[in-house]
Amino acid sequence: MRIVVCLKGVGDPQAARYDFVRREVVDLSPIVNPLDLVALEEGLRLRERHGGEVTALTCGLPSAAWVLRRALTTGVDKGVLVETEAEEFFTVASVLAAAVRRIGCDLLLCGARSADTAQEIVGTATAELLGLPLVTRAVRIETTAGKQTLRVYKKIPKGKREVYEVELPAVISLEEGANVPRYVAILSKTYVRGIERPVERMSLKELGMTGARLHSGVHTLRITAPKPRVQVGVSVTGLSPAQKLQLLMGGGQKRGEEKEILSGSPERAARRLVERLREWLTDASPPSSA
Amino acid sequence: MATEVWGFVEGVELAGKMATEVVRLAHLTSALPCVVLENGRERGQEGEMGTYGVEKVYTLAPVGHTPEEHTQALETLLSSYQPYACLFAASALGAEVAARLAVRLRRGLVTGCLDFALEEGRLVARRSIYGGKAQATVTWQSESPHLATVDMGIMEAIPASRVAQIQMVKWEAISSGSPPRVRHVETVRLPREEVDLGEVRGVIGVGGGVKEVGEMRLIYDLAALLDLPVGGSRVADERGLIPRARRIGMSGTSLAADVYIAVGISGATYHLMGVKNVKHIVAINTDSGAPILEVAELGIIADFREVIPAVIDRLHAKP
Repeated sequence: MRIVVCLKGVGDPQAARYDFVRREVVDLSPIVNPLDLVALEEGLRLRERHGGEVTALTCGLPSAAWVLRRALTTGVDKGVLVETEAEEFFTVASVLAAAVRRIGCDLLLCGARSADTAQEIVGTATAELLGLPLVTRAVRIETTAGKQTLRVYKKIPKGKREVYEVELPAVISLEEGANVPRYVAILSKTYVRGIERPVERMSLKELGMTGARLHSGVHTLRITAPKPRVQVGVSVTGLSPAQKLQLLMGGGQKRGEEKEILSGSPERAARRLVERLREWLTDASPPSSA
Repeated sequence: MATEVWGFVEGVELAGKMATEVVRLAHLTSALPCVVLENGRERGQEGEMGTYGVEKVYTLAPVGHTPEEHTQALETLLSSYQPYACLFAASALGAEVAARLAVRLRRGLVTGCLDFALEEGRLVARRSIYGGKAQATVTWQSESPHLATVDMGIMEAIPASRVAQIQMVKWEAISSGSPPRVRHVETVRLPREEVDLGEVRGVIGVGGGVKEVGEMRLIYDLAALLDLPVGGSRVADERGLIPRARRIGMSGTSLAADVYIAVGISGATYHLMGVKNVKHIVAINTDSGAPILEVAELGIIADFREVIPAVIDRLHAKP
């Protein structure tokens, strides 16, 4: 199986903070997008089970080669960097799609979203441009013996999974929890072999792209400190001035308005608890045996 | 014809929230609030939409299960009517359909919107970046429809003061003829022992009030009846009552459940951090001064060894 994994270097959200003076996000220590590493791990595991090769692909400034070096140290066969200044999703997806066509692959893997902007667009847009079938937010990929299809478990809320069968070639985006990316010790054999491998560079010209920016149709006006969503229709009658102020400061968010404290008879408490649970736990479909 | 703002309704649970958001955005932009319902799956929702102030309902003939099939149907619908904006839930389905439409229609898409505003006559949206450490205010530069996915987790369903008269439009989706290349086989729910605590609808948590492993049988009986997984506080973990992976709080999992039943948990700050997004908290505790009662919607001041058997009896008594 020829597998291509798309990777992106991002500023670590764990370390990031908003600087009120400079009005931007600072302390951005570079990491490979964590979900892209999950995709990479999935690619490596598929190669271990079924053979083939794994190519790591990124696009960005020439300095973005560090992302691929990091991938090479985990044991991927090849790292490809497409040099571009573009950051907008449409251009990035077009560049990735062109590169994937050039490299050739049976399976394109990527993280479901990036940890910085978390748009969750590029993977889907790339699949759309390539005209390949796609399953997003995958937490498990199973191969079927002798068949050119994969069984993919897609994460949906409340502990449920949608199971899809998809023909190859295909695109799959990985969700948190699919696997735990391997740790490769510095100076281990895999690491040393990987770090010595060169990064292949491609220009937009080679891919037959003019370098003209395809507009994504959106524009970021400013970056601000986080503020909760302003709620409408929040009643303030009967609240104390302090509570009103609290509500105002919190953007209108409030919770736990109706409170019920029971003591005494366990039977009475149990009856009330069961009543409330029947009301609150509405989705009572039984679990599957899978 | 007035311009329209659309919201694609995905599933009955989110219908009210989406309708409310559409009405709010329509009010902001002086447009007509409309929703797109998938007939067949959301049958019977049409009338309810009016109670939120929606004035027009488009019903799509059943389109199949995959996002690709939804995209196809919505692409023709959007191109035919050209609304000012179209909202989707930031769910697995909504996120994929919106991204596909952005490519196919070459329109701007802003994902995970927290709210909308007008600035100098143009629509802007706020969205979280860097895991919530900051927010970006983004505007659309392409022609309408402006595409957006909205974070349904923070939205509320608010009935309108006046029930609107609904105008109905039926739309037959045109099938492409070729079978989808992604086939939906089934939807499964993970058994409660396997599922991650962060993604379930309800959790039972145990704490210092549960003294020994033997008392956990009672908890697991309740868990089996309610089909909820069991987690706990740091104390429960250290006492060996729960596995490490089931610890809730700062040093463990954060819940996003509808219900949390805290049994014998006092509610240390580090534990409460992990349950702050839970909708309804139930606390069973002998100590009427336990901090967990501050955040509980239903507090039961009693010994769980007496309350839980009574709960189990009641659950057995009536289906």
